[in-house]
Parts: sequence; C-alpha cells; structure tokens
Amino acid sequence: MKRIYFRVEYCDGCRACETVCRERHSGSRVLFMDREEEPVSSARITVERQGGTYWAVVCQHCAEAPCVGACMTGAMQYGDEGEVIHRVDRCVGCWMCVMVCPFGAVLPQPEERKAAKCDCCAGERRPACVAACSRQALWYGSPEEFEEKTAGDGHALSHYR
Amino acid sequence: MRYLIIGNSAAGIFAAETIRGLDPQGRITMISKENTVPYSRCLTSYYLGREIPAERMYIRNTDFYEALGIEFLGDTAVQVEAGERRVLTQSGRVVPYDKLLIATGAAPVRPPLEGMDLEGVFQLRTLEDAQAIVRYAEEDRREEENGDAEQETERVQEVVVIGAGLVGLKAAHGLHERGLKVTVVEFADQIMPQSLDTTAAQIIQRVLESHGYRLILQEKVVKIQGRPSTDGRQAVSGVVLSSGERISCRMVVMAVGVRPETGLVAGSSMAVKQGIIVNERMETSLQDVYAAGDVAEGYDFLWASLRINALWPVATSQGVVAGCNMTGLKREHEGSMSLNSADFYGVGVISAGILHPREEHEQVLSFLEPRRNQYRRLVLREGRLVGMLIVGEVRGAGVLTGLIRKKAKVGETVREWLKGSGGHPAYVPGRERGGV
Ligand SMILES: Cc1cc2nc3c(=O)[nH]c(=O)nc-3n(C[C@H](O)[C@H](O)[C@H](O)COP(=O)(O)OP(=O)(O)OC[C@H]3O[C@@H](n4cnc5c(N)ncnc54)[C@H](O)[C@@H]3O)c2cc1C
Repeated sequence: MKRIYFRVEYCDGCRACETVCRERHSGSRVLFMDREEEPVSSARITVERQGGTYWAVVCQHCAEAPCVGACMTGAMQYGDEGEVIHRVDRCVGCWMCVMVCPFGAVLPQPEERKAAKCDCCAGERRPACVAACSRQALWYGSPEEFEEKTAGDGHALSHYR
Repeated sequence: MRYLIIGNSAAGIFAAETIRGLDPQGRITMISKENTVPYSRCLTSYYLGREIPAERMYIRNTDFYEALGIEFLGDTAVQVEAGERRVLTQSGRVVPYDKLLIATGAAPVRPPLEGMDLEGVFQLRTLEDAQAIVRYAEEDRREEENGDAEQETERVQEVVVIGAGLVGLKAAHGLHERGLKVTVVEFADQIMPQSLDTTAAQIIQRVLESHGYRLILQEKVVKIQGRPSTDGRQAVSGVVLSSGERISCRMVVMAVGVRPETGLVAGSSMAVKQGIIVNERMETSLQDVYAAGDVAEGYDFLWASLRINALWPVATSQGVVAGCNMTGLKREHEGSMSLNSADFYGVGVISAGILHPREEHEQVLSFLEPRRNQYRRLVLREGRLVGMLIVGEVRGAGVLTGLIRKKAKVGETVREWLKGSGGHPAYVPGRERGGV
C-alpha cells in the first residue's frame, strides 16, 4: 500500500503542503477562496517546528491503526488496500482517534464536531502535498519503493513506518 | 476449526474480523443476547440527544455476518462447559467449539435502592435501553398533545441522572439535548472522579452548568419516590437526597458503574476476580477459552497489575489479540491503560494513564488558562510520562498517549507545549535519545 513519507532534512518549512492540502479539501477547491468558506477548511498535513527543524505530520495509514481500534462509531475503517479511511458522515467528534494517534495526525475540528485526516487525495495519482513539495521532503509510494529510493540515504526517516 | 464468540460488541467484532482475516476456512459462530447487527453502545447517548439517527448506531453493514461467513445466534449463553468444549444456551442449544472467546462485556450495577422497580427508572447500556428511554419520554409527550389538561403534567420534563462518570454525563448530555431538564447527583466531590482531577472537573462542571445542567456533588440518592401512573403501575415522581432535599422528576437514569458479565462461568474452575483473568495472549485459566473486553481483567502496564479498563479501545485491541491467538498466530497484548475522551459543548477533554501521583518520585506539571477553558496536566515518573489530562484544545493528545506507551523520557518539546503553545507536543525525529 502506498503512503506518504517524510524526509526531515529536506524540509525547509515552506508549508506549501499545508496550503495545497487545505485547498484540495475545501468545498471550492480554489486556492485563497478556501479561506472565505464556512467552516474554514483545514489542512490534513501540518508542519511543526522545533528550533530550526521542521517536520510534517500526516496520517501514516498504520497497518494496525490505533485510530481504527479506538473509533467507537465505525468512522475509521480499513479500505480495500489496508489504507485507513475516515468516513466523515459517521464521525461524531468524540476525539477517541485524536487521543490515540501517536503521530498527532488526526486533527480535531471542533466547529464541525468532526475529526479530519489525510485521505491521500483519494482518487488522484499523487497527493497534492507531495506534488507541491519542491524539496521532495514528501514522498509517495509503497514501503518497498521507499526503501529502494532511500537506500543509503542517511536522511530518510526511520520512524515513519 | 470451530470458533465460538460470545458477545457481538467491540471485543467480539474485532476478534471475528481478525479470525476471518487469518483463517478464511474456519467456522465462526457468534452468540449474543442482543439480536442485532453490531452497533456501538457508546453512541446511545448521541441517539438520545437526536444527534444521530438510530441507523447510525450500527457500526457494521447489515450483511456483516453473511459477508464474514459467521453463523449468528441470537441467544443467551448460560453456561460454559470447558471440559466438554461446549456452551449451553438459554433456548437449550448446545454449541460445541474448539476455541472459545468470552466477550460478554459488562452490565450496569443496580444498587439496592428503594424505588428501583418503578416505571421510569432506566439505565443506559444497550440500544434497547436507549429506545426504552426515548419511548418513555415520547409517550408522555403524546399525552400532552391530546390536550388533556390533567395529563399535561405527566410528561417527562425533568430527569435525575445518578452518577457523574462518563456514562452518566453522556446520558445527561443526550437527555439535555432532547430538551429535558437534567439534574446529576454524584456521591464523590467532583464529576468524573475516575478520569479527571478537580481542576478539570471544575472546568467541565462550569461548562455544563452554563448550559443549564444542575450538578449536585457529595450527595446520595437515598430513595426514588413513586406515584400511581396512568396504566395503574407506580411511576417515578421524584428522588430524595441524603441531605433531605427532594427533587421532583419523572425519570431516573442510573449510571453508577458496571460489573463484568461473568455469570456464564460461575461455578466453573475458571480464575475470576472482578473479571475473568487473562494473560497477555487473552487466555483464561481454562484451555482454549479466551476472554476480551469489559469482561476481562488483564494487565495494566502503568499500574503493573491486573485491572479492568472497561473501554472501547481496550476491548477492540484485546479482541484482535484474542483472535490472533485463537487461530494459532501468537500475539501478545502490550497491556492496557485508562484512556478517556469526551467533548462537552466544544470543550474537549482527554485523559490517559495515572492522574494522581502516589509516589514521591512522581512529578506533576500543569498549565491552566481558565478563561479559555484550557488545562493541561502531565504526571511524570522518573522523568517519564505516566499520565496526562488535556481540557480544551486536544490536538496532538495522541502523541502524549504514545509517549506514555513508549515510556519515553520527556524533555523540552513537551515542556514547551505544556506552556500553552498552539502546536502539538510532536515527536521530533531523531531526538528520541535526548528526550522529546
Ligand atoms: C453510554 C455509554 C457510553 C460509552 N462511552 C464510551 C467512550 O466514550 N469511550 C470508551 O472507551 N468507552 C465508552 N463506553 C464503554 C464501551 O462501550 C465498552 O467498553 C465496550 O462496549 C466494551 O465492549 P465489549 O465487547 O467488551 O462488551 P459489551 O459492549 O458490553 O458487549 C458485550 C456483548 O455480549 C453480549 N452478552 C453478554 N452476556 C451474554 C450472554 N450470557 N450470552 C450472550 N450474549 C451475551 C451482550 O449482549 C453484548 O452484545 C461507553 C459505554 C456506554 C454504555
């Protein structure tokens, strides 16, 4: 199954990923217009910073996902390829998923009383954030491809599995 | 292989799905006294409050049993005969098994209180309980619509919830959303005594009170009063508190805790304390019998002892581990911990692990901003996180839950976050060794 990988040393914190993600998940899907919408759409990838280091937080589609086990509404479920799908219509905003995601990648949206997370831009060949990442800090592919691509690359992240 | 699962809720569903994933050929039978497609009892309060329609309580498709090739029996298991590898049911069935999972959960405690049998006394555990509450509340409404002046006073307007734990408050919330005037009576000196400290409890209490709830602490209901109802039975008319105060109400919801459903192994040699004792593979003391969920007393890795954490995520993870081991795939449960999450009118509250330090080497760090309903509290043991409580903005809470699980040392990132930064206490790659 494909997922989004992040390589910390390549990221310069430009936050293009956040911007395009917000756009992609807005009603209008038009950049900048999305901020006018109610409720304001939010990015499902976030760039956090500590000192001079940036790192992107995004759903890792865990094989045995804590959010799926904690979800008391059946909103978080596995898709056909083992990806973690969030069926928003079922979500009641209890934040059980937020409570257990070790990456902090499920985001509470209190106004809508819904959680939100990355859906890998379902239906598209490549997630918008990955396409927008000029530094190639974000990378999309299967674990095998990632391993191959980053073999010998000391910068590749090992904990994002 | 013949698998038998008793109970079709969190632990039972996740076990069945795991077994089916690992053993496409095995025969799976499920017995439950709740003859339904799997639903989530955690959603019953949302249904009460009309926040979701009834059909949204079902957490699996209507063809769940067929799709997974499960034989489902709507029946009550009355006796496990582990020696004979069979289970006896109320309707007289004798169901044989090779591997058995007991996932019978828990049932509400019914305190021996005067007036418990009156019409209008409810509990909130099952879909049926929720439907009964709704029916009772609606029935009386219809009487009002008849325009009969005398019956107008009959309608349910006021309800007393006994117990301010998570279930009590969720029930209160649902009933309040339904338009009833809700009073909650709690014996302890704070709401949610098991999952909040006093500071957090006070914040949530203020939120609830600002929405019109009445919360009465350090009081007991000593008696439920009744009076003749329209159908000739005795119905609730009020409760009397230990202080002597009388609160008039037409409905009482009992929420004073749950007790594991272990009746079906009573009289057997199975090791049972409060719940059925299980090891890290979810095996009971009897061969080929497993237990998971609210009925099971398993290892709590923070308390380093057996403990029932009667919670949805614990039940599902134990169900998965039981399912694996039942098929022969060895899996060990990492142990559970207390974990709670709720949201009251936009104020989120999440707590995990140990909240009250008991030992001298445990340290508490906290941050409070009462005007914004923001509160964060961390409990450290020798520099490692063993408990956390967040009120308000709950984003990133899972990172802390993860740190508790990993027994990670807590460093600057978390300390900075504690001071109220907007981000989350993220895990900085490569800094594991130096502390987060
Ligand atoms: C109103 C409410 C709100 C809740 N909110 C939360 C929450 O926000 N977060 C959280 O973590 N937890 C919450 N819980 C707790 C959570 O629902 C339980 O921890 C969870 O359901 C346990 O799952 P289980 O599979 O172990 O057992 P249960 O859900 O109790 O299911 C047991 C099943 O076994 C069946 N059964 C029992 N005995 C027999 C028998 N002898 N024969 C046949 N069948 C039998 C029952 O009918 C039932 O279907 C809430 C509970 C309630 C009632």
